[in-house]
Amino acid sequence: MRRFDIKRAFGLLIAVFLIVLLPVQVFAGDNVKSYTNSDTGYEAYVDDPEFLLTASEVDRVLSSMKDLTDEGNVVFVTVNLKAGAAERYAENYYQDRYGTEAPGLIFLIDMGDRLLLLQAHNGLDSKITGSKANSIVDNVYTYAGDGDYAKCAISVYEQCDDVLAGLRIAEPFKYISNIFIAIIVAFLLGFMILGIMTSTPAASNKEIIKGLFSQLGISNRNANLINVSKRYSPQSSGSSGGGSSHSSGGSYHSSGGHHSSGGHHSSGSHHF
Amino acid sequence: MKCPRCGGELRFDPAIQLLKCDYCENTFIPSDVKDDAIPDAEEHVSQTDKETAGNAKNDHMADTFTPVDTTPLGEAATVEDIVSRTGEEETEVKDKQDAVKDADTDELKLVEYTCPNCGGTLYSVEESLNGFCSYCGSQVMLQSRFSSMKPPKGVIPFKVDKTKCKSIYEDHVKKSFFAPKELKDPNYLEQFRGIYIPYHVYNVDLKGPLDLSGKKEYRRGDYVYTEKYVCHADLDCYFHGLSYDASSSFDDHFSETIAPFDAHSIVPFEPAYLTGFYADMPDVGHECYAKDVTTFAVDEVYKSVSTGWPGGVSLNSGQKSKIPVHMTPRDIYTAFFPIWFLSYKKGDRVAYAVINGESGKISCDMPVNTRKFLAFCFLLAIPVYLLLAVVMPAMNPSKMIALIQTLGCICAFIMMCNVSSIVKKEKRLDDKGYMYKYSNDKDIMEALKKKEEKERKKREKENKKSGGNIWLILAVILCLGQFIFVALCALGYVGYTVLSSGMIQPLLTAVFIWMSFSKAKELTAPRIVYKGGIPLMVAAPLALIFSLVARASDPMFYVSAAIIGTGVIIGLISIVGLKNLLYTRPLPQLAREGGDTNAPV
Ligand SMILES: [Zn+2]
Ligand SMILES: [Zn+2]
Repeated sequence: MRRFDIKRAFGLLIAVFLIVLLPVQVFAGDNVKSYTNSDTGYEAYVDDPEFLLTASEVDRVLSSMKDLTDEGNVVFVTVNLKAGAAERYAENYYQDRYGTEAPGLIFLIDMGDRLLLLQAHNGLDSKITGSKANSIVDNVYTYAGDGDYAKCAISVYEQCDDVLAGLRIAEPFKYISNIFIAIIVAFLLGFMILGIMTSTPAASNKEIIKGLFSQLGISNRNANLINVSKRYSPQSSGSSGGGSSHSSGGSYHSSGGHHSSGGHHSSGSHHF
Repeated sequence: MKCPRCGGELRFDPAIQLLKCDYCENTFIPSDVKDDAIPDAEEHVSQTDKETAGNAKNDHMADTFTPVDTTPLGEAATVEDIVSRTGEEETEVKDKQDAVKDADTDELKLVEYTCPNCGGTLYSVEESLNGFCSYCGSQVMLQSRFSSMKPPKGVIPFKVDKTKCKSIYEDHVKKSFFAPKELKDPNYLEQFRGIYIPYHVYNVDLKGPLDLSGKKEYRRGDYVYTEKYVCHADLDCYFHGLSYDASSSFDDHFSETIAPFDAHSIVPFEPAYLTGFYADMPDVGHECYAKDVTTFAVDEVYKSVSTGWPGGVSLNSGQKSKIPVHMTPRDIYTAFFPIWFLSYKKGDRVAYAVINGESGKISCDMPVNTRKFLAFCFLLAIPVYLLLAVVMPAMNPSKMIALIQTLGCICAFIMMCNVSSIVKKEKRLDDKGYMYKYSNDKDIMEALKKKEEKERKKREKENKKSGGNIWLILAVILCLGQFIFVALCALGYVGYTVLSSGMIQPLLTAVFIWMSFSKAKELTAPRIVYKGGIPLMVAAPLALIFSLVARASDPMFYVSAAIIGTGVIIGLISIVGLKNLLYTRPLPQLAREGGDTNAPV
């Protein structure tokens, strides 16, 4: 009876393993997708020839770009280039697609140079400046280092959205809501201080024993062996759980500078 | 008690540990002076008869074992000596045992004072008592009558005198920044009262041979060897002097926090120690804490037994019950322990300050001066604001509102926690002694027992499980781990979006507040919870709606932030009120004394 149960349990386990792991390994073939904002006519465009994203990730990245199409075109592109070519490539890519007038953003991942690059064009460059673009990219290069390109891209677009929206309603709102947050945080700190001031800990066992007549006499200790049993357990199967993980720690370095090569654009980049 | 020299009033002086005459300043050893203050005691004894009369009537222990007259008090026999000696010399001192019996029937005559407001009672050897009640803090004339009780066997005389007690308290209040300033009033400090609280003192022995099962596992090649052992040891352990308060009106919280009393300073009881102080009557049976005592002793012994076996042998779990415990009612006696007691009444709440009269350890209900605390918080908000101005990253407004919503959740959660702690405190669910006395149908005791039973069964189950198929468990854990990991990866994205859109927070806030409300029903004054909870409960979803609307028109963001911000602050202010309830207690009720009899245990 018991044996049977275990077998069935193992069968179930394997099934669960498969179900859980399956969706992770599925890749989609089609990795170009776009969306056009019907109000502004601006476009969100994902072009992933390097297949860094799965199909579902493409959708997620695209949806994170939608808000930004209120302000301009938004592009995500993956490439494999020689070192130093990314900046020029991104500029050309944007201009080829939208011309030299339309405002927009392009975020590029260059697998050849292992470089992240964010450029703002034609009007947006005054809002997302070179230093802002740099700091945005600085915040996400660890995701790229871990291979989570979707999270990396989504985070870039969210930060762009924050910057643009933040500029839109701008500072007064921040200052007003900070007042509320400050008061709330002050109260929470106050409660913490109050809690610390009023706490009286109960006496510990050690303190209690100090005030007792006590004796801990344990004598004639001996351990008598009554039987030995042995169980076959091959050593190799002993350590199945411990796969050691090696971090592929490339030395990250920041190439903070951006070479402004004419035209109205700003950019920030980061190797990963 | 009267001075044998001049007839002046005698009082016990903690500083010198002797009785001192108010008038002629002569000092006397407590056991030398006989109590003749109570009118219905025997007729006046002349000074020369005093010694002999005293000896005849004196407490058996002092009389039979220690010539207290000649021994300096510091070296006087402690009750521990006496109890152990009674054990050893049981046959030898047959007639002395009879003396013990005589002494047991001998009653201690006291004046009983009852508060007409709360029914609290205090006892004294003197017939004068200032008109205020230490339990409810009201300034009333106490009703007095004569009463008698079985004298306790031992007493720890006061070591901290009133002056010292006041300075300990003042130091403590100084550190309590938010305390109401009335607490610092010197006139109020005069109300500190020295009260002897009855404690049960337990002597528990753990003696005899002990055989436990143990094992050792090691690997040789492809085989795992398991050696089974019988681990033998001879125990000769004891814990004498474990004490638990025997008065239901003295909250266990205090006895836990001002503990420990040093059992080494327990001396045989003499009525003279009560002069200048008050006493409370024991009304909780010693069986109430018997389990705690044995658990304490067994745990301590097991801790030492479970390590130190030769050759790396370790004990199997779940063998605590094999440790032999001996405790009979003979090993339990009552003793008076000294406590300084002060009450502070405000409205229908009362706060107590309690100081250990032996060690000076203090434990206080510290009410919060609401105005002072609010002022502090708003002042503190200024530096926090300046810090936020620097630290807070650029955020789009709906995320900012989501952040305030999250703080609202935290506020609602704190509210819930506070309400449930207040319920616990007001119903004194943690107070075993109180429960023992006032849960007539023993419902709660039953519930406690059931809970213990459940926990034991759970433990047994776990033990059984770990003996089962380890591989199966490992596989299940791995599989579950994998599943959780994948689920978290998916949620990592979804969860962040949900949180930053502020959708889930109002829901959570509502749940916490709803839980606070359902708990608050059990409070004496639940209104404060509703007052703080309802605005927050309304503000959270309202703010969400406004922030959704604001996507079309930006000014709505300000409205949304103002709504949720105000809601949370109102909630927080009500929590300050809750803190005040938490750090005080409801006035003791006369009603609950209905079943009270003054019969000693
Ligand atoms: Zn005198
Ligand atoms: Zn009272």
